[in-house]
Amino acid sequence: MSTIKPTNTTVWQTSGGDNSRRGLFNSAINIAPKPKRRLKTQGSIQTPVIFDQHGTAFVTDMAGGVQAYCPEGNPIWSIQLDSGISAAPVLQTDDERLFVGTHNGMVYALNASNGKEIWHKEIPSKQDTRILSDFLFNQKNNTIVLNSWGGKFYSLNAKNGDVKNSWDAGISPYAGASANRDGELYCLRAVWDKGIQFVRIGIDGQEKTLFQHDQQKKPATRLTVSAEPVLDEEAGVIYFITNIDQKSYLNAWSIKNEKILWKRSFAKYIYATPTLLTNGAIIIADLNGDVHAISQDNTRLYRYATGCEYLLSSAVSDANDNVYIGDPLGKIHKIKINDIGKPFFEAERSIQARPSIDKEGSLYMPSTDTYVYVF
Amino acid sequence: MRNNQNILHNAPKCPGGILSRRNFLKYTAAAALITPTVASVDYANADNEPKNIPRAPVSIGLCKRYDFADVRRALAVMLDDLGDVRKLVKNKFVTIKVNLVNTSEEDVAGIPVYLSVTTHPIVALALGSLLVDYGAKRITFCDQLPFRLPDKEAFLGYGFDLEQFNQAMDGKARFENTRNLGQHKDYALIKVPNGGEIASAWEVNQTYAKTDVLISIGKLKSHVSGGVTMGMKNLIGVPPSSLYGDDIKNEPDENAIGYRGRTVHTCESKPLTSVDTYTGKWVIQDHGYNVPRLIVDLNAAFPIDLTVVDGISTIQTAEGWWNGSMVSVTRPGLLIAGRNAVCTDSVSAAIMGFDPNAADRTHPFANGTNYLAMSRRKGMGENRINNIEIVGVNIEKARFEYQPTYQRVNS
Repeated sequence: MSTIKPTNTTVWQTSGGDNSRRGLFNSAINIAPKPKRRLKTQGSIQTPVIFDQHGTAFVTDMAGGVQAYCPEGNPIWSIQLDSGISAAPVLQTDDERLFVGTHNGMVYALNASNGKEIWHKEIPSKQDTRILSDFLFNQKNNTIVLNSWGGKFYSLNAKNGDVKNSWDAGISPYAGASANRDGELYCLRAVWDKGIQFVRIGIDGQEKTLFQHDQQKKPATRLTVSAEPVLDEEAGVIYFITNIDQKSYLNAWSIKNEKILWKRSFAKYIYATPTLLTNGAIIIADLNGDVHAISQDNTRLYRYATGCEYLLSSAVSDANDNVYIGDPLGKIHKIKINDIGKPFFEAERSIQARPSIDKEGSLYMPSTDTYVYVF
Repeated sequence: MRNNQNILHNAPKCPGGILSRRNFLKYTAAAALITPTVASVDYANADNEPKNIPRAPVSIGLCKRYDFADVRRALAVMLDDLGDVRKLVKNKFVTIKVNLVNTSEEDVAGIPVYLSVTTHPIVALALGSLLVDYGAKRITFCDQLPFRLPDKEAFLGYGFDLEQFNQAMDGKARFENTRNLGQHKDYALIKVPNGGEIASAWEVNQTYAKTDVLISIGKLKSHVSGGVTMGMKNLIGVPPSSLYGDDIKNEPDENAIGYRGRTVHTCESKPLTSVDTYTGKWVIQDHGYNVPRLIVDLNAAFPIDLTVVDGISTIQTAEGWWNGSMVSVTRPGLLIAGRNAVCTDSVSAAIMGFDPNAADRTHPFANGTNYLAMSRRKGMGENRINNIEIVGVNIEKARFEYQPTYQRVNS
């Protein structure tokens, strides 16, 4: 079994840390069971916190608020956008711009240092304006990548919001794109009368459908696509989730051979993007309330029952392979390797967003009770 | 009992009250004479604002899980905050309309309907046991379910176990599937005060008429046609499939179990009631026009004495599994209760991050009419949040924003 070297990414400028969406922090973290501070917002929080190089934390909420806090937790600026925010924002690599999308279908480029708008763009939609997917910044061509319930993925010029490319996002575009180090994008989509497709978009905009999981009893309109592909480039594998009928499948895809290496089924759907461990194992949080650790060769390492009926959000992990996840009962769990896990804190209301880790190793857990708990 | 068809003068706690067919025909003939007045009412006109709009406090409680003790404890505090629920139910026959929608055989992403779409049985059980403690004589839990099974079995798929209910309620629980006559000999014909918007009367299972107290337990959800759905919208389940179902042909059918899409959504068909009860003032296939008006007509005919909203675990964006993958499971961890259904549902909408007094065809009423505002203009209750007293958890703390619903093309 190969060992993954955690990426050099210490600054999580996007959901899951970097464009691989792996959620693996590059060193061990040591946190106390009680939060050292809380960050207050106006609305419930259903998006991960992201950070700039200086440790500034950016928090978006369901009431349309965007807030910046210094590493000590003091507010720097806050603004109010046109509608709620469910899509994880992203920072440009040089920290200059923060990109945010709203339920009304607006994309904003904000000056990250003061929150002032640089540009905005309305994503066209006849029926459903919602932007729900995690944003991605592609440094290779200076674009941001997102989709909306208008049914399209967009690659927008980060400088001015002009559309550089667009492609079909399918029926239920909850999930954003992931990208490799060369800037190639990977995404999933549910396609009418077909099923779920795993797609690669080259840096030149060329689209290739790599794999299709055919629909079976349930039509594609009922197949939720909300987990993003997770890239393990060191191992040459991409993991992605397909929800078919009432089950879900974790698929391991060989980048080199362009074929499925193995797949494993789970009893319920999976909403949450998987998380990688340093040993190459993958962590799955399912709608049965369980956290599963599956090895690179498809062996079950553990199953941890959180005690909640379902899990809506993803986990993160550290260099010691400790896993951190929040559940809809508001409990935050730490799971050590070998299934030794327990909740160590309970927020007042549900947790429905992926946690984040800042460069100092502090864990930021957003809650729908309008607080981000910092451990 | 709230009424007996032989004692019509006692009936109108329901403002319309139950009518005999003979009286109904007399009424409809009289109504025809005054139709121009009724039809000319413009509810979008602020000048028609009633002077005394009913209002009642709304109580909010936080409750994370469907644990019987937790839910019961939370509801007990909330009902005491409302002040008069004990008196309301003491020595009374109570009907609780639960929201079980149209089948128990579906799910949302594998999550069972009671965690996503329908009233959770624990909320109904906890409320029922409290009401028994308060002195209720008998409590009938009802909805129309698309199953021809005996009532006890039909409810079981939704997690409603009659034995369990009777253990917690001293044997005072009953389940009734109101899809047809059920155990009754005839239907109740209930008129809508002032003629109604679309329905001038409703012909329904007697469970909704032969009761002292009507309670609605709804689920906290968005609704594509109605905008939001809680206690008031729950009454859309009252008209029986046997008279209103899509699967009936030329005459009423006691075996019908069909959805009521053509009669209470698209209005492409009239129900096969014993007398003509539809006014003709609908817009065929415009769900957003018809459904809100039918909600108002039902709530005018069947005033809800207590509304309880199950907002512990639910879905956002739309109302059911049939909306496909556009809905997602979410967990507000809330219970909401109030004596006035308009007030209660308006507070519920505000908790979801919506303006309960929003203009028609704007969010959350993106596809049609704001039935909460229409209800206020009809004098049924207050929907403007600043005019409603809130007890228990304050609304800022309770707030849990939902993702908005989609807009139908041409809405």
